[in-house]
Amino acid sequence: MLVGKALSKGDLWEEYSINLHGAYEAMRSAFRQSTLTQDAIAESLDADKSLISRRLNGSENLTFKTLSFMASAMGCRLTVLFTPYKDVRKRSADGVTFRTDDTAEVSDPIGPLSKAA
Amino acid sequence: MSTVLMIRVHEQPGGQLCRFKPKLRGDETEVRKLSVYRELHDWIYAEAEASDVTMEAKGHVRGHLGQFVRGELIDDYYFMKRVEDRRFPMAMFSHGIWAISPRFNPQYRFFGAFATHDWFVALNKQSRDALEQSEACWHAEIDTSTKLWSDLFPGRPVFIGDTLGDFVSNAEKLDARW
Repeated sequence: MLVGKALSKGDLWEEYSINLHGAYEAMRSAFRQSTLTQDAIAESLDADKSLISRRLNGSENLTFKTLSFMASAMGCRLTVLFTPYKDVRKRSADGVTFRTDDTAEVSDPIGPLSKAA
Repeated sequence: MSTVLMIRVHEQPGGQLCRFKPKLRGDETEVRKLSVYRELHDWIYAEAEASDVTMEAKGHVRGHLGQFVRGELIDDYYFMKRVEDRRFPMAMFSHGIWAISPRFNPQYRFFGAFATHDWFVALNKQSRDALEQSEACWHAEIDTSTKLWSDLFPGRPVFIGDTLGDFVSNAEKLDARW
């Protein structure tokens, strides 16, 4: 049980990086699974295409607002889950983490990938 | 003696290489292997008197390197890429040196080579800001990597493949230079 146990700064920053990467991969995965182009997302957000490109290739720092805007442009809603370490599962090839029962329920910050009607 | 056996010798206590072991959670395992030059390994884990900026950068480095070890999907462009040696245009990649690129700022590049499929040896690092000064800076890091490899593995060439799949599993090919 980790409750009450002091965590090292190093561990905190490492987990932060892993979580941030998970969010980034979820965004990329959602983009891959959509039929959208970077141009289309840029148009939806009234943003420059180069900004969308930087977000998708990881050279732009992610904020929750950025993730939310990108999700909206892809017709997705963000779903944030706190997964106990013991339940962490290997990421599959498409960057999605599966639950223990392998029901393919995503635990990434971006939830259902189908586009809103 | 094979390169892998030599790595295992170098990874003995007090040796010149350390196995990079990220914190593995749940059912995560060491899918790929990453050996790191001891000096580099010490830097990655040194926390004493480090500022929050440095701690964050090192956290990103450990997180990024952990992706490799956990066997997550990586690519040959943003995650890590072959370094071009523009001094020898006809043999751009024959040196076999790659750079791993943690993507969050402040950025560092970790240079090294594959010992075999899914086993990378990271040898030296440089900040992205320093590398941006000139091509010569990249070439200097290639030379450093090559020298360190030769010192660690006398007579043993770096692992060379024809395709990305020869080097690493579960990797997306984005580099058009193959």
